[in-house]
Amino acid sequence: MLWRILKKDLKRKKTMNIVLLLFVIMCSMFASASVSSIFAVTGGIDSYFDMADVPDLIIQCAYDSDIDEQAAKLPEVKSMKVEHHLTVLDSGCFTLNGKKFDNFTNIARLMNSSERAITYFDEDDNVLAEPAKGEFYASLIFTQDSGLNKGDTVVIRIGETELPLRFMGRFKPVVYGQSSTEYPYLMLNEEDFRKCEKDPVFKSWASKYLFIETDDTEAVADRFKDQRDSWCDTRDERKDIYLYDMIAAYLMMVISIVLMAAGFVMMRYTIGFTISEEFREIGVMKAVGISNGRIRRLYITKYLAISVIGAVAGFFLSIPLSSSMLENISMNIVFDKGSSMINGLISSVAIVVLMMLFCYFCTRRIKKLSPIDAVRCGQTGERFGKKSILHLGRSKLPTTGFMALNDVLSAPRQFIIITLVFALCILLVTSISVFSRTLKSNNIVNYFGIPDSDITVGDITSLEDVFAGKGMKKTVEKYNKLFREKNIPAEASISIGAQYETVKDGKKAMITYLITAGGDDDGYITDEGCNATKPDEVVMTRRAMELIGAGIGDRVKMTIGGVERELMITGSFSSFMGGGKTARICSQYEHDADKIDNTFGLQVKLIGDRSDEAAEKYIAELKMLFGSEKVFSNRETVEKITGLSSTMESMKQMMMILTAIVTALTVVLTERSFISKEKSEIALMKAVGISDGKIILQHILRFVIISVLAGAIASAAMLPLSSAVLDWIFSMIGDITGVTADYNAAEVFVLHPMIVAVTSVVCSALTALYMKTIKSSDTASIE
Amino acid sequence: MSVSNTVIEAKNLCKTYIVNKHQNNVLKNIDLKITEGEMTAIMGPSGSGKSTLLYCISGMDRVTSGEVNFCGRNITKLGEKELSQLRLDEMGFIFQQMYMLKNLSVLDNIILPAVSSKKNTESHRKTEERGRALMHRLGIDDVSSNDINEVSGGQLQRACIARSVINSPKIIFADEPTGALNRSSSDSVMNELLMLNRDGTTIMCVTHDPKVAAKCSRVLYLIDGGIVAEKVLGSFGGSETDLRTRERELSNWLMEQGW
Repeated sequence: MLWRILKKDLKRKKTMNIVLLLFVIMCSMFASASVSSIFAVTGGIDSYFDMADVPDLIIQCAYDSDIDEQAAKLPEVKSMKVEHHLTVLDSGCFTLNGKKFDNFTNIARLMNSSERAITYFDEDDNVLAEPAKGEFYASLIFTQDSGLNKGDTVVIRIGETELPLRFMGRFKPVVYGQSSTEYPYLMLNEEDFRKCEKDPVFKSWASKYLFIETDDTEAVADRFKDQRDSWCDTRDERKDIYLYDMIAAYLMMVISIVLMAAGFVMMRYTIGFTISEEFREIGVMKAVGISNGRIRRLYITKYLAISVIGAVAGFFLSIPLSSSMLENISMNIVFDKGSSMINGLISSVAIVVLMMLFCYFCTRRIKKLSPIDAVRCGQTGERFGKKSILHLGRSKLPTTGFMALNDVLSAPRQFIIITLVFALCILLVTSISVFSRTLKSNNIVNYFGIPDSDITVGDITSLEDVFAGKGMKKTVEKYNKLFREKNIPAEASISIGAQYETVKDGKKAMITYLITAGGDDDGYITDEGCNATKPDEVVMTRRAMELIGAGIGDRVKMTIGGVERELMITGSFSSFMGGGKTARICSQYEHDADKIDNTFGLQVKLIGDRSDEAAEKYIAELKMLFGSEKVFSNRETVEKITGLSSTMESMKQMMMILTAIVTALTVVLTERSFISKEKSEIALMKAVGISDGKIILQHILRFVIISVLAGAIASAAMLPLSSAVLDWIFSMIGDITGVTADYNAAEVFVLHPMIVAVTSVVCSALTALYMKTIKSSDTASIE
Repeated sequence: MSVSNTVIEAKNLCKTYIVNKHQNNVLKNIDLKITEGEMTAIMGPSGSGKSTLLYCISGMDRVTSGEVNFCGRNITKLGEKELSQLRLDEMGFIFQQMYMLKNLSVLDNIILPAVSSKKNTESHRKTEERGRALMHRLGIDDVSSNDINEVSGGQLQRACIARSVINSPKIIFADEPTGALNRSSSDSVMNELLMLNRDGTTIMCVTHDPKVAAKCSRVLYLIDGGIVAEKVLGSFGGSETDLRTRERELSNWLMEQGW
């Protein structure tokens, strides 16, 4: 008998069952896709490193260093492989169809394919094939924005060498830097590599990488950490190069969780709604003596059928969604697709289980319904709370507007759920938009160690005097003189970081020291205390201080220029540099040339007019002056440093589309539920002479009200939430707090809420057309 | 009560439903005239087409063939929008179930047609006052701000009457207005309708109850979609004796029709 009732129910309540099925599909799709990406991201780097056979320790040293011989003698070293990298200092040495490359700022590194110490993968995640003579593979930093296509011939022209090479595709350099300020890598055939090796011009800044398997990582690392000309990273430390990818992935994870939550909220609403709609059937069943348990079983069986069908459909639909979610991240990382599929499958099964628990929870209402409900149309008269808050007679609103507002206020719970779903979607888009814009803003330039300036000359050759040991101050003077000669109203400055061992009470740590020549020593933002303006002063990040157990006012020791210095910590500051383990000392110091670790090039501060227009004008002049295209505004510089901005932009676009889809689905499904629920009222309104147009408008206006409300909630929550998200993300990158969020008011307060509002209006209008099928004469035949 | 102008005229009215390829002729060639100020009852066994006739001549349902003239205007040719306008401004409806909008108070339900009408130029406040006056007249002014589930069936049906007359319609269509009410509520609702009729409102009412029909001036009897008999009772004086006489007369007539 129950089966017969169920069969009839599925047939009779086709629309509501389809509505529920769509929500289950949506939920299962988002859950499956997000769980796959969550697993892929959290365990992704580890499994990628396993696939690539990344060993315990990686040491970078000078090309002709003997560190590899020293390491080989250590008893802790189980095995060691060595890779030699040659360098091409300027991107202009590469040409494609006669045009010089200008898409990267750093030194390009050439690798020998037959010397691979670890496994590299191509862009399709296959193990990288051996390039034949005259062929090469390149990393993303080399290929992006270059117009390079497979089969194109790139010519390396440097010194006496001219080497034409055919591009065979992109490869993922696993343990080498991924952000756009890192080195681009080219994988060459051994013969081509050896040809370059013969020309000494390829060997300036050339290096050697040791890949060490060891029983005692700490001991080997300690042995080489203090060695001049070398950097030592454990496998875990190397994972930091994927920090920006991980941030993007975590953001994607947050998006998935929110979308999944939205799906569940809507599903719960739909189940609750379908049960409340069935008060008459439930009442009649109770009246004839069917037990609560049996009635509940009936509904749970129905939802089990729907959830199984929905979960299976959702799982298959999640496969392309999951791929698109991981698309940006998988540019650099190889994901284990097999386990990702299994995770998706598990999550789909979890959806079915969750659905069942959900149904059990939602069907509690059955207990409350009595046979009286069947008789009294669900209105037992026990509820005496006021429903109508507004009064038509006292309202200044047009009737349709009043009716819509009154509907929303009379059933706040159901509308609040939809409002919150909309607000969450808007908030997600705005948060990503704010993050993306902040990443490009001048607000964070300082945190990258870039002094107050307007333009950056990113061509590393502009600092060759510094690398040659001629000093930062002299280089700055040279450029200031040049600017005067060329009538460019500007001052030059250079900010460079270098790692020095710092000691406090015997506690040692490698800390990145920033020195800026040409800037104002007292012009930097400190979080606490004051800037280091004297030779015996230093400001440090909290993270750096923690490393050596120091605080403001303490004295630390470091050696620079061959002299041991005792410096007093005068304050703390925030920095993205050196993983937040950073210090700043005054401009009287010069770095040891061999320790120079990072720089963003030459900074140019305009004197007088510092507008964007002026910057644009002088950028053009400086490009001519330096013979390089790598002259950027500060905004572009930060964008290039993080490389996250474009990912964020594409995430934002994706989120906007997803928001529109979730809004559309929510509106279509809830509006369809409303029509079904309010069939008698619609018929009545038609019977008393209210036109179709006005009733449709009333329904549209409900969603407009919800959208406006959601927009207002999202706008109010946007700034505090964005600041919290920014603090969380920036604390992962460096030691940063209190970054001011940068946002485009028109985009955040108008465009994003408008997406939801416009989608709501269009979808509710189209769905509301269905009410045309309800006739005024239906008034008499509705239950 | 003046009996002069024709409010409703149906000519050769047919209504056919096709269910599972089976043709069901619900109304067959009905000719009918309702004049201004009349109070007409439509009676007949279940399934005879009483409600369908009411909905077809009020423009709530489309006819299959034939013509329905409302105050000389053929409403079968009108579009949905014009029909809505007509129902809003010129007609009033009362149903067996006391349908009202759940999200509005009783008073707001009553004044809804008035504030929705373009014909109504008065302020909302003024309309509200008019609604209250109407409720007072119907004896339900104490429930004006109540929700619809806080009032009794009789009160709710009187509220429905108030809603049906708020726009001073030319005719009120009532589909079993007392069908869901107890005797005392039923009497009170019928008295209100009689009062409205005495004030000049034409009323057409579908009923199963001879007591209700006895208060009407004319009774039409429908069988299988056709009007088979008509009984003119004349105006009801309002006295208990008159009512009993009319009831007896009507019962005899109904028995003749096979009731």
